[in-house]
Amino acid sequence: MPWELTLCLLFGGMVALLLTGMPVAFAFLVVNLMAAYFFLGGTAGLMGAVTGVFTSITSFTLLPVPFFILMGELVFHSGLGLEALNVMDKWLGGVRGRLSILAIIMGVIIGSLSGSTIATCALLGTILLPDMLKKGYSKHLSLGPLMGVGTVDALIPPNALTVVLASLAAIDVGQLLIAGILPGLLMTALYLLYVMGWCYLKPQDAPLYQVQEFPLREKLRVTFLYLLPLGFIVFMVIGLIFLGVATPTEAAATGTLGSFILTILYRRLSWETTRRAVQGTVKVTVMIFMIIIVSSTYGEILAFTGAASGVTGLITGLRFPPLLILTGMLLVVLALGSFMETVAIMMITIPIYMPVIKALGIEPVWFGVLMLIALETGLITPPFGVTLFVMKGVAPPEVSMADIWKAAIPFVIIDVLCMFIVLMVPWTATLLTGLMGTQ
Amino acid sequence: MKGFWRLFDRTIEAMAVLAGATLLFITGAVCYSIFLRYFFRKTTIWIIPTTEYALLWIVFLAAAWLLREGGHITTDILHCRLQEGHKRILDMIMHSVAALATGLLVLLGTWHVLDCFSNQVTDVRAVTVPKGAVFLVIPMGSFFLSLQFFRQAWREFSQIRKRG
Repeated sequence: MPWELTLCLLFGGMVALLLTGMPVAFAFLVVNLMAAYFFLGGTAGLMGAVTGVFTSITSFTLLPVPFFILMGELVFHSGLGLEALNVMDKWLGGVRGRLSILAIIMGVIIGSLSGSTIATCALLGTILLPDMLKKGYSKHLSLGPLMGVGTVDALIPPNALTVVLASLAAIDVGQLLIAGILPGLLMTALYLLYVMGWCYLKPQDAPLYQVQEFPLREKLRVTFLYLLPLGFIVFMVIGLIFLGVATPTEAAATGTLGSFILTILYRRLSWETTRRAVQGTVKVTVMIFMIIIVSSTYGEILAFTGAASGVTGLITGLRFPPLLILTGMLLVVLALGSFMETVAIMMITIPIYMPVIKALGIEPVWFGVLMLIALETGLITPPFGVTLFVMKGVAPPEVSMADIWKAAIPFVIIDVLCMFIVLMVPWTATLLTGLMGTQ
Repeated sequence: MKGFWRLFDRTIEAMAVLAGATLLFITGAVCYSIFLRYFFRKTTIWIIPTTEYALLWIVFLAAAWLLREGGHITTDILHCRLQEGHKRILDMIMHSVAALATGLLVLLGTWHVLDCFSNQVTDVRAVTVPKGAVFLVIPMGSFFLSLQFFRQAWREFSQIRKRG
């Protein structure tokens, strides 16, 4: 069978099953079992698909995924995330657009601890959105920053999605985690500039209101008490990886231990907190790993049928500049992201993309950062980005889906702009990795 | 049948609790290995392979429970636009297909486990363990997944029949 047809059957079958509402993991399972039977030699192929499950996730490099999630869940359920939000609220004072700015800053801080875009959006949306609307903020300035900042989550470590991508694409996990920092900060700066610029042009969208002023002493007290300890946890993860003192797995474990110690010190570690944090972690981990497990055969089928090498040959034979090809690949991810889940997109695209990336001699870490931006942008891309629906879920009934789409568009444009900058200036992604210590 | 499904629910909940306990155990185990290495210059060779196997166990122990809780992510852009009756028919078909696919995992997984035990196959990492003992969780977890899918398909079928 020609590889083009194989690719169409695999991809088409997957998309068709996903559209039926079947859970992503099991849509992969059905397609892969059928493909394994027909392309990998009948029963022997099926057996290979089943035994492949064993090696798919029994890997030390994937261990940071549950650790990062547990770390974030502990911070959420113990209420420490909320305390950090209150600290930043005290520092911002009476600046115009303060709640939108607060949403962005807190999205970065909480997102860096939680590693889950959807969780960050849901938390901030629940806490800040009602207040924003009550204070007369336009829907545009209320909804947009809350959704947009989720994209930054994937770039600022620690992040579970980065570990999954690095593991699938055989990129150094530590390097990819660190490489996201500068683009993440760049994106945050662009968001802040946009919000402040909008407030300047349309002040009626973010009316000023009476804010309680706190003395400097109080601000410093709460910062030392609630914000710096969280910063210590982030350091235990990012700092240890950057300095080369610990592997990403070890850093993630120590970060999780740090979260436990912190919740004990704040007397927030109860049976209920632990139960909810562990339950939340098991849910997200199993959801992600189940997709990885059942789609382990997908890459093998693509390689065995010649589809992966066919696509690589086709793309490299086009004689287009690598930058143009890379742009095309990212556009495909963006398009998929507007209706598909991120891990599923990774599982479908990475086995095809990585041989092309290697053949074109593109720096894998740089590519990884661009992929992360594209994947996360997809989450807020109308009409079907997942974060849009999360926002609809937490927003009051008067907020329509059209409001959410309109509010998301400027942030999608900013994300694309950031992706363009990282594409044109690769050192934004590779500068920090060059400074890393070796373990 | 109600008694059977009550027992089934308690079993998958117990398995999910075990998955959570395993998660806490591997967190502690990795921290312990770091502690030993940095402060006592000792290595613990069993921790890395154990945590690797634990990842597989966590997933298959909790997969059926997560399915019951509706935690496996779906893409419902078309599904949510269907009429209620059509949605139920589609769900019944897809749950049945998934029940068959996971049933196939049970069959092939059990076959492989038996093969591993009869041929004394081992998985060689830092420590050597009988592969069948680790692999066992795949057919076991898939069995509960298959039953849960079957249950969901049956529930849709009953609703369709009730509405005529």
